Amino acid sequence: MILHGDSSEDEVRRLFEEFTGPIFQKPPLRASVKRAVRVREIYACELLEMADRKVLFRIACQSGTYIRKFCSDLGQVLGFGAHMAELRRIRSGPFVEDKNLYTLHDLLRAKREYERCGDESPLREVVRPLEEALEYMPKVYIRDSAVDAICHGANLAIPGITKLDKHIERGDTVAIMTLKGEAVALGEALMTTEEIMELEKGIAVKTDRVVMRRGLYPPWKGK
Amino acid sequence: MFEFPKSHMLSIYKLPQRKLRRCRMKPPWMMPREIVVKSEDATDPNYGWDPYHRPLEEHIKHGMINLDKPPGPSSHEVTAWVKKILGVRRIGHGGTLGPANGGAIPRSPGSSR
Repeated sequence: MILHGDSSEDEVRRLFEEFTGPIFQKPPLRASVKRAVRVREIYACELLEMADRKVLFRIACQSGTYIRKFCSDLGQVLGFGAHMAELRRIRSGPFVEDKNLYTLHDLLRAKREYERCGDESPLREVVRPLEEALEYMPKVYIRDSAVDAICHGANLAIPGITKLDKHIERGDTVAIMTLKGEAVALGEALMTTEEIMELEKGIAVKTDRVVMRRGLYPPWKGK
Repeated sequence: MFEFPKSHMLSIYKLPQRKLRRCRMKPPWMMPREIVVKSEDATDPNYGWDPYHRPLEEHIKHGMINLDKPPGPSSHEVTAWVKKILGVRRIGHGGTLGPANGGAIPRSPGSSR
């Protein structure tokens, strides 16, 4: 962030603290969403370095927060304005900078390696199984017999469930997984964990997006 | 030059305390995760694969890349390049970074359905 006036490190630090928590934000002029004031959560904001008017800081925020806007808002409060100079996303949910982050060059090299020597390990290293993306999602594990129906778009009923996350609320987005740990679909929970544990039948999860391809598991033939 | 009154501006960006209580203060990856068992069942090894032992073709179809996007090209352009390198028909990206921003973006070579 580049400030448009002189400020002290303490002043900036105090402002970061002030801006932590839920804040109002209006998306910038050139935005891909409706320009209405909305609430976004800033989990943490930390000043790393400051030289003259240049400020280097680290921020953890809710998805959909415009950092460019955050900088200019901060400048407005300071009185002289500020703008964002550079931004690097260091984390997005389960994707972090220091774990399995690869460049386009790495990808190209891995692909060439596979084509030339038939060694698939570099390619497997760069391309990760998509289940890793669902690491922080509440999960529902289902029986083999229920998989094919879900793949065809059916909703998940209670008899198909074997294991599930302890803290599922109604309306949460959950990942439906097989017992082998493969992702089958994403859905919206229609029941809480307690209800699913108590009841014997009923629809527990509404399927929204199927991930697994059809025909991988055999269709259920009835008892 | 016009100057904003400082104390007044702050009240615009900060939410009142009573709304603060309703907000979840933890990022999603800090939420507690725990598994409870409803009924035990075994899985048939004849169908499907463990996510780490899929055949390569399946692995790429059900894969994702944590890609370090260079500042410059847009997320959309980079998606097209990954498509070309891997030779897959369908690919998506989660989260968009502006052209000038580098960093981690997940990309999933989606199912070719």
